[in-house]
Amino acid sequence: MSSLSVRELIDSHYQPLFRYAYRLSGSSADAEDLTQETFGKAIQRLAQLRQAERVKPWLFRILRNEYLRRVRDDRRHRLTPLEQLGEIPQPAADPPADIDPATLQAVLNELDETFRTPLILYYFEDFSYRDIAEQMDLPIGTVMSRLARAKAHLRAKLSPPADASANGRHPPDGF
Amino acid sequence: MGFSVDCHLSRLMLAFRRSDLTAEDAASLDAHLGGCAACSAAARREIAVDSRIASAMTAVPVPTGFRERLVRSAEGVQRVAWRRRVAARAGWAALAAAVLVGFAGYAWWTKPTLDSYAAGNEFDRQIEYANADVPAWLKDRGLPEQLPFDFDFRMPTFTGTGQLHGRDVPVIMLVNGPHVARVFIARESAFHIQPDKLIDAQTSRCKATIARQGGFVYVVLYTSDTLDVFLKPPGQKA
Repeated sequence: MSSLSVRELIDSHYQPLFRYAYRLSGSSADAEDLTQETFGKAIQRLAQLRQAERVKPWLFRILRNEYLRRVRDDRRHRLTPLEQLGEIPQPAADPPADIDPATLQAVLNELDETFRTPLILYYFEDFSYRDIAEQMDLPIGTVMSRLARAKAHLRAKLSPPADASANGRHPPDGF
Repeated sequence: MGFSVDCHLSRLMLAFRRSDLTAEDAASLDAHLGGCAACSAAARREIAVDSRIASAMTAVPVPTGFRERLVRSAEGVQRVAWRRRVAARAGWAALAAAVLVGFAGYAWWTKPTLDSYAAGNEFDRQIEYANADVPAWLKDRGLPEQLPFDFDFRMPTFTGTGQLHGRDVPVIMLVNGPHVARVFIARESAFHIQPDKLIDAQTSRCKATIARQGGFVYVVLYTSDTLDVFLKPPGQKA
């Protein structure tokens, strides 16, 4: 592939790839490394890409595999499988209009990667359940289950707690 | 043929509304939402919440200069990949030639063409700033501002990008008279770490020392007898 095409590849995808890498790793420096490594591998494997329109999920898959390779033996972070979280309290309200990005990242960081990845990919707009299932080599039903639990966990963590309604606030009209 | 969607089913289908529904199912869902105020409100709420989370999820600033660093790195990978492809295709012929003319023929085939302009351009890309504000440069790159060595940045200092074992990494270069020091900075996770390969080393023209701090490795290569010529004099504050 010509230099121009490689530049087009980078220009088209480096920003979403970096953002994905950042949400996966929680670190800007790690995200840079991951993104650089992803493009390096992609350039070497371009001949393997059969369908040009699938380049975005292909790049995302390379990046995720590189991330998993790096953290395989890294247990610096205590990750919480959702099964151990128990009952998630129902929030009284939806997440606020302005969600704090640092709070969002903190919630993502505490999740195991098997729940974090489908959550991130879901909110990177273009990824359907089918796309996520392909990314993770999982049955679509498993993706649905993990995403449902991860979304509920995320919304509960980002929303005010249920007992906020007891602090002198009036209940919504109609209740 | 369409099918009837009730409130229970519509709430389940809402999860797939984005791109996993067939056209027929999407039409059935839309028809229900058009006639059911409660489900329509639930759909609007769901979409609004997802939209807010999606906005926050993608609100990640991309570091300044990152695209340029990626392009340089990619060009390096392309050059290596091209040479490998050419060498692979010509491998059998080169092997035969090597048998006939020896290893000199193979080395001739794979060595790059020396070009002063291209070499100058490569150096330009590596040296971004002269006498830069190093702490600010480190902070801008997301690197720890405190280095394991107390370098004296009052001497001529350059910051940029250099290759360390084939990887582009941030580098600081200091010049003190006839001597030069280069400080390569990288995350530990980018390399295999074997303690016996991190001891101080001396080659024919330079010395090397490696320090680890806060998840980063600092590879210092210098041409003087000791690293002291690049450090702040004892007792001098920052």
